[in-house]
Amino acid sequence: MSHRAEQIITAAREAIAAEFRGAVYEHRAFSMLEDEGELPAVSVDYGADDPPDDDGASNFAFFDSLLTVETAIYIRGTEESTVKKDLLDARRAIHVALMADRTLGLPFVIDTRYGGADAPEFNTDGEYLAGLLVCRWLVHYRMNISDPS
Amino acid sequence: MRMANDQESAQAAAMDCLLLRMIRACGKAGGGVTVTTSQGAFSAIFDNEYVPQTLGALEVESRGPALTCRTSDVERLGLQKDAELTVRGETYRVRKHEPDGTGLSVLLLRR
Repeated sequence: MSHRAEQIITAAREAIAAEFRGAVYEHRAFSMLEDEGELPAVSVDYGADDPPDDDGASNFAFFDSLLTVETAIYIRGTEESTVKKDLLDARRAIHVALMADRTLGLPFVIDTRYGGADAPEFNTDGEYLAGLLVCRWLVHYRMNISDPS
Repeated sequence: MRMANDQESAQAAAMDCLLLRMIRACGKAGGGVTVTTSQGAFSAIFDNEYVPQTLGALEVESRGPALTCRTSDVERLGLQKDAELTVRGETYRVRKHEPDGTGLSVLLLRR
């Protein structure tokens, strides 16, 4: 059994794939081909995973942790206004997907919370305008003190 | 004074003619196109090389269509940013005009 953080990322990715109209990936640092259906895309990856407070919210049996799920949306288009709209449409789809069941269908997840979004980023170097929007979600989960799987 | 100006104008026209010949000759070797706009047509060399678009940690693989042409054609047709033009049946818009100062220009294109 994999670490619970990985199980959360997998569950989040599956939930987003059901709502988002493009491709959903689990990684970020790779290249995408514009002509092979790889865009629009969302990559779902894990970020920081910290105890929810300084004391670590634990007892003899468990630790609680707050996992940051990073969703990076990539869109391309011809007009900046359209790309911005598509980025926000994708952000909405991710929001709906993750908030439909805040446990993500996992018995050890306590809650999924909104973690905000970065300002959108654009690149105008190519034939099409490309846009990126990173949104964050905080997943509160519990793991056994001796085994996080 | 007038003679000197006439001489400069003649030299500039000859140079412009030479550039057009050069563009057409290079175009025959590959990439030569006739570009049409609502204002008229001109000869250019078209290339469409790979251009990486970096977004955060990711690279989006893209193309960077561009035209090499005479600066005088760009000025004559009043081609500015966002001007529409047709190359090989495809419609593009001018993204950037980069004159090199010697009479040649590169027009970077986008969809």
